[in-house]
Formats: sequence, structure tokens, C-alpha cells
Amino acid sequence: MKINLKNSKNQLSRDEMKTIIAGNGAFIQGDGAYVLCNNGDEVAVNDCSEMDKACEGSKGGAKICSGGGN
Amino acid sequence: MTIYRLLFLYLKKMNIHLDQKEFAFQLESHPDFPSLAALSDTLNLFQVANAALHVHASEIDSLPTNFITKLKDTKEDTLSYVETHDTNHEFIVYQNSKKTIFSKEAFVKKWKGIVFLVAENTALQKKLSSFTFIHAVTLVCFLSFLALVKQHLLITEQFLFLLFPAIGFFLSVIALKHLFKIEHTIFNSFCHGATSENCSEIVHSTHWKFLDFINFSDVSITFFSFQIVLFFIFGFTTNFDIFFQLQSIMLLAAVPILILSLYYQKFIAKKWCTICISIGGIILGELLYVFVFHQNNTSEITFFEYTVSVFSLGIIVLLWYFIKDSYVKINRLETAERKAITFKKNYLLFKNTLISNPITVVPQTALIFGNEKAKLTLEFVTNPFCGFCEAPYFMLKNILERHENDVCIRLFFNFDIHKNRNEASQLVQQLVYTYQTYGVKAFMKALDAWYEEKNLAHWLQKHSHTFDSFEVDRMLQKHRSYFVDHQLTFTPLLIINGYKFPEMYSITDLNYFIEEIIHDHTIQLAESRKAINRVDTII
Repeated sequence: MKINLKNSKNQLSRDEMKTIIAGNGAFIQGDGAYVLCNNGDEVAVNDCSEMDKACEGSKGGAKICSGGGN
Repeated sequence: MTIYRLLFLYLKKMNIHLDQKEFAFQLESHPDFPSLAALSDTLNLFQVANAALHVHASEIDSLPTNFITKLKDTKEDTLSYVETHDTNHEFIVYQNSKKTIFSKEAFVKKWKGIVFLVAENTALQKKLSSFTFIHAVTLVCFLSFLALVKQHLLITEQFLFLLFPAIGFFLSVIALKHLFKIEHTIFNSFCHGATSENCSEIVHSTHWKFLDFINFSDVSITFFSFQIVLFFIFGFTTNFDIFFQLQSIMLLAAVPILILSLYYQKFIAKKWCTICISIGGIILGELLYVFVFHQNNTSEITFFEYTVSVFSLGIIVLLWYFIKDSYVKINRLETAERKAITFKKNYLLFKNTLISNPITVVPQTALIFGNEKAKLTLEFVTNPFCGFCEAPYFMLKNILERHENDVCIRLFFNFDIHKNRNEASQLVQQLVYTYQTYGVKAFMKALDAWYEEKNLAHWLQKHSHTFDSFEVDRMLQKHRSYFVDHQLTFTPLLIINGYKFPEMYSITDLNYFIEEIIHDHTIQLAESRKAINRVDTII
């Protein structure tokens, strides 16, 4: 059975949740991301879920995706 | 990648659409920001059910396909968003601006045992419409402007000149990106890394006295706006020769300011500003363009044309003064609001204010919701005809949905059954009868329907039952007398474990504190004191 909010009893206490950093950083709107393809090309994408498509074919596939929009 | 990107990517996958700006505002004004508790509370505020769970590595296969987690060996102390592919047993991890694919074995090695999940919420699945009235008006303006341009301005060579002030205007806006709160990697790249501060330092410099009144950014944005406005004024009146005559004067006048800017960067600030140099380049390009293509213009500028130009410049300067002033004020107010909300959301402050109130004792009621044995009791005194009671009712209903086992809500109608007209009394009687006979869900459905339509005759037609109202009336009147005797005649009134909700807060602010209250065991003290008081009252 898949874990979900209703069937899980092992919830973190509030104090534990306060000690975990969710992440900093200013709110950035409309930010893009960049994919480095295996042939060295850098392609701009909306978000990193598009990285594979952006480096298809002669570009030799995606190497790494970076930027605010992934 | 900021936490927003991770979270909104996750929420998008869950088909949950929130107002991102408002979410960011609420999250960043949470006193525990940037903790996971702040993230969880903010999602609760937006009615997105969520939880952080301890999950053992052996349970990884039981996790949903999308989740947020905390992994080992991360350089930055941030969460990661994970997508799993059942078919090829891959784990796609989005973290720190990177997307990495892990095999299950590699993923287990990084497993830290913490997962953050949100539940789907059908009410939030409708994507917020991005096309608003403002967009429609902008589109109409743009199309009519295009029609005008098509009719009057078809000369490519002259239109090419427009590119200079357009780019200049764009660069001037970027130079003022802090004022306009423009955050984008493309814009940031103009002033990236070590030079970033340099740009800001030059653009906002007040080193020279006169820069207190008008700085380089003001000059550039008004200059290029003025050029664009003049282009269209003289373009639509097919008077381009005059336009370029004026440009040659303006551009020559701009050269000393350009030299002054370069001198300032080189000798005073001793730093170079990429945007300022680019703007200088644009002005030199314009100057070159005008003297190469329009040096033989012989048209004389009339007094009327000078007046139109001066008037336009005056309007632009005034407009810019007010726009800038408004932006400065808005930015200052936004910061102040954020600080005020953070202060308001401070739980300790709220709690101290709450428990400094004297204990308020209320009578028993038949209208009980949630877990009667819960340590947190919310006593809500309301009236269906009180407009201010509607929002607190829906807030309490939402709290009940999320914390059914942790909260007990006792509801009272502060309503004079004898003084009010028959139909109004019937509504309250019917609501109490509905609760007693058909239960909580039927009661809430009936009250929701009342708030939705607020048509008494229609509501009674749909929700009336025939019954002897003697007992119901007796309870309602008993409550009414009690509240009058104890000077609790106003609605809505909320009592938390015996303490009256502080007047300086709005009742709906309870949303900010509910998670803390539920987990705060010290606040339960009042319950025992209240019990003693109740006994005293009975005696």
C-alpha cells in the first residue's frame, strides 16, 4: 500500500519540523533553466523536465541542467 | 533552485495551483521561515493538507511517485524534490539547481528518512486564469497601436532608429530592477557576479550633491522615454525630419552627461558598470545614426514643435517622478507589511496575549463538533444573521476538517428567540434540530446553504422539518440569557480553552496559530482552571 497522509502514523513532531531547513532564496518569477548537452551546446529551457528533449539527436543527450527554473 | 521552484514543481505535478506571490509572502513572513514547519503551516493556510513523515529506507517503494525529501550529503541545506519512475526504477532528484538521476541503490544510500507530502485538493486543481481584465485592455491597446503604426509608420529605416531608445529604455529598466523588483536570470546576467554591486553603486550613487535630486538612472529612463514619445508624436504627424533635428540637439546635449558618467565610474567610484557603459554605447550609436543618415536635414524647427517637445519632456519627467515615488513607497510598504505580518504571526506573543485574558466560562451546548475529548476546545458564539460570523465559521470548519481528532468545537447561537421575527427564529431552530436529528454533516450542509444563498424563505422551504421546538427554544433562550447576563452580547466570539480570543487579532488569524496551539501542551492549563471555575459556577 502506498504511503499517504491518511495512512501514515509516523509524522514528524513540530519541533523536528522547526529544525529542518526547507530552503532559502528569494522568490523568482518566470525564471528559466539551462541544459548542457553532451556535444557542449547550452540550451535554454523553461524547466529541467525539458532537458532530455532539448538535447535530443545530434546533441548527444543531456549532461546537466541548471538554473532557477528546474 | 529556491524552495519555491521545488515546491511549485511538486504542486504542479499534484495539479494544485496556488497564487505563487501570495504564497511566497505568507511563507517568508512566517516567524519560523525557512523551516519545514513554516512551509507546512503556509500550505495549511492555503488549505493544502500536508505532512512530514519518517519513512524507513525499506519503505521507499511504498512512497508516492512524487515527493519532497531531505537527502544526505547535500552541500546546501535544502530539500529535494523527487520523481520516481516505476518502469525503470529511477529516481529523478531536483536539488540545488540540478536534476540528477539515481538508481534505487544510489538513492537509498542518500536516504535520510524524511519525506514531505501534500494531499491532492480538488478545490485547488482549477488553474488560476492568467488572462485578466488588465491583459485584455493591454491587448486592445497594443492592437490599436499596431493599427496606427501600420497606417502611419511604415518606413523601415526610421523604425530602425526606434531600436536604439527601445534598447536604452530596456537597459534603464534593468538598471532599476531593484526598484521594479524584477528578478530574472536573464536580467541578472547583465550585472552578474562581482560587478553586480558596481552597477547598483553607480546607478544609485549620491556621491555628488546633484545626484540626490536626479541620478544617472533617472536621466537615462526619462531620456529614452522622451525619445520614444517624440518618435511617435512626430511619426504620426509624418514629421520625421523635425524629429531627427531634435534628436541631434538632444544627443549632443547628452554627450557631457555621458562623459560625466564615465568620469564618475573611472575616477570617483573606480568601478565600471556594464549597464551604464551599454547605455552610453546606445547614445553614441544614436548620435552616429543621426549624423550619418540625417545630417542634410534642412527643416527648421518651429516654436510650436519646440513647445510640444518641452511639454512632452515635462510630462515624462513628472510622470517618472510620480512612478518612481510610488514604487519606492510600495516597496517600503511591502517590507513594512511583511515585518508586521511576521510580528503578528508570532505565536508566543499571541499566546501571552491570549492567556492574559480572564477565563471566560460558557454554559453547556448541544452543538459539539470534532473530538469531545480533545485537549483543545474552541467555543464559538455566533449568529446566522451576523455577517462577520461567516468567515470565522468557514475557518473553523476548515480547521475541523484538518484536525478532527485534535479539536473540539462547541457552538452557540447568541440569538433572542422571542425578540426576532418568526422566520428568523425558525432558521436557528431548524439548524439546531438538524444537528440533533441528522448530525454534524447535515448541520454544516444546512448552514453552508444559508451562507450561500441568504434567502430566508427559500432556505426554510428547502431545509424545514416539522418538530416540537420547545426543547430547542429552551436551550437557545438559556444561552441568550447567559450571554446577556455576562455581557457577552457580541458575535462572533471565540474562546480558546477558556480564554477569550484577543481583540487585537482578527478571529481568522487563528489560522496562523492553530498548528502551534494544537501542539502546545502548556495552553491546556487553562482547561483545568476552567473546569474548576465551572464547578464553582454550578455550586
